[in-house]
Amino acid sequence: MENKFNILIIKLLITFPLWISSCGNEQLSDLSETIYVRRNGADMPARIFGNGSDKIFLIILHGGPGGDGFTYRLLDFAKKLEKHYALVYYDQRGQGMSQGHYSKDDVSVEEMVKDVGALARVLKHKYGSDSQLFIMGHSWGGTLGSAVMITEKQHLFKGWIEVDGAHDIPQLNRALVRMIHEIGNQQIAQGNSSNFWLDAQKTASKVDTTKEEMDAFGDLNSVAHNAEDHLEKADLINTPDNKLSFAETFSALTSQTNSLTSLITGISTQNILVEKGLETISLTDELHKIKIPTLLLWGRWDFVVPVDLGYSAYEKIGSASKKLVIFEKSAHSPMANEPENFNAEIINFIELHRD
Amino acid sequence: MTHLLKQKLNYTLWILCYCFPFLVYSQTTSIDSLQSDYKLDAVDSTKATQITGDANYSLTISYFGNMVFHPGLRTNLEKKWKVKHKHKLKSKKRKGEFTLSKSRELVPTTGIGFYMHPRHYGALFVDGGLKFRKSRSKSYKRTIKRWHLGTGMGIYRSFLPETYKVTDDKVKKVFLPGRIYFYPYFEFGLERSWRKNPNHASFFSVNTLFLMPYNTTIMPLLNLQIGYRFKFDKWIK
Repeated sequence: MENKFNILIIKLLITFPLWISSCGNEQLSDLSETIYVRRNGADMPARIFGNGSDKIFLIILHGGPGGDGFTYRLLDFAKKLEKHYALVYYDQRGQGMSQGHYSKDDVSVEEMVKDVGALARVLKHKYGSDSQLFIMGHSWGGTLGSAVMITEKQHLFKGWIEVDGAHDIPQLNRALVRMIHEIGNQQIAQGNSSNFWLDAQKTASKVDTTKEEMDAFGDLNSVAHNAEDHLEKADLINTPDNKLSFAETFSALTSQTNSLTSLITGISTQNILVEKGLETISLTDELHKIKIPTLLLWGRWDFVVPVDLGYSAYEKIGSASKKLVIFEKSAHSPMANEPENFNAEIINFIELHRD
Repeated sequence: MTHLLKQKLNYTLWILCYCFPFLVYSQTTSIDSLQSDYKLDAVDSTKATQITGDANYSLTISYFGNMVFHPGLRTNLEKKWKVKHKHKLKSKKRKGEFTLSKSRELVPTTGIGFYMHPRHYGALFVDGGLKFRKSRSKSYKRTIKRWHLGTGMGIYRSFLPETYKVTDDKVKKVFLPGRIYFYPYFEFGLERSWRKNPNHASFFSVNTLFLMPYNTTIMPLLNLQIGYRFKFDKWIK
């Protein structure tokens, strides 16, 4: 009896790691699996879901810094896109469910650019060199994606989709101050959330956009996020419809990102990036190096990353094939505000540029 | 790389320094000598075992829920080390005269456990530490209430699914991928036993492991345990 018990325990311990590594569905038409990419001390998860029959992969670079890739899967647009393509929900170094051991020196945009290149190579290694990779960066993901695109690594991808991407933070802050004054005046005149807009304008007036004042920019960023609630009340943007079923809620609790882990590691990584000059990142002058097909998607009412950045990126990007789409009823996340139109643009872009 | 190796070595030394003395001391001390330490008389001794039990060794088996929902199992071996009892005669109008018994125990413990975070990783961990347990029981009640505080240190190994290492644009699949972390832990728990069987107890506890070095920081993991503790003397000779 004792022997049988011991054998059972040994069997459990041996099969435990194998069981972990075997979870998921590897059928190309209905992919559902998690792989990790290990590079320079970090293990970064990429969860791959959807239809990979045509070997077309859309990598999502999440926002933040400090966000996670899997959160995008809770939105309707992702589930619908998964019927067409395989979506890769990737957690960047030091964020989401990424783990590992490394020093602060290894947390930088340059390292993260190399990580994205490593992810592309792993996908091509696993699914074949004929795999076609598209990449979409949202918000901070737009910063990182743009930083990838201005290097030779851009040629690993068939196309680049920037969604409300923060590729130029000083320009972002200047545009945000201007937008708060302009839109604020319009909203006050119409009697919409006057108190909020007056306070927002006060905050914006205190910011000297010629200097790097971290605290002031932090205040501006929180005004920008709060503005979305007031824009929703004024019916300027669509309300996202993201009600989760019981099964989805349970799945989110059990199998998705551990919110405590993601929060703590995300804050730590964000602080390191800020210490290293995150607020001074300005890639606008290098966007001419982008030569691959590019789609720029922006919410008209985005206060977090104003639409001015979309216009200037469209002007500067060196690609022969580029398109800017402004979503009139959206703010910082058009994929949540206008999922149908958003998906239509993505599908058109991928179909146009795939082999 | 060298600074990581040094860090790992430091954590290992900490664990050895912290846990080893308790475990060694507890292995060399028997329950008989403990009772003589406290010079309990025959009556006190009987009363004492009525609330702490006569088990030298106990085994706990529990559900280990990382963030409640990521399921796992944990088992711990505990040894009674220091025990102190107090008994007071009290009276209540309705109940009449009764004995209020209290005990304090120091319990070295060592354990192993695992949990799964579906789709992401699994983890196996081994630790050792010390528990302070307090029991309280009124003679007319059929149950004994206990609470405990625990702390210790351990080693944690994560097991990742399919992992590819990329070095200089070369991709290689990693065998048994995962990371080793060191951790101190802190635990608070509540226990309840039947008076007729004080060696056995059901318990509920919350514990936090602080994984280090995790990325560039320290990562707390919140865990919930629900389990059962039982006498394990006859398995250990």
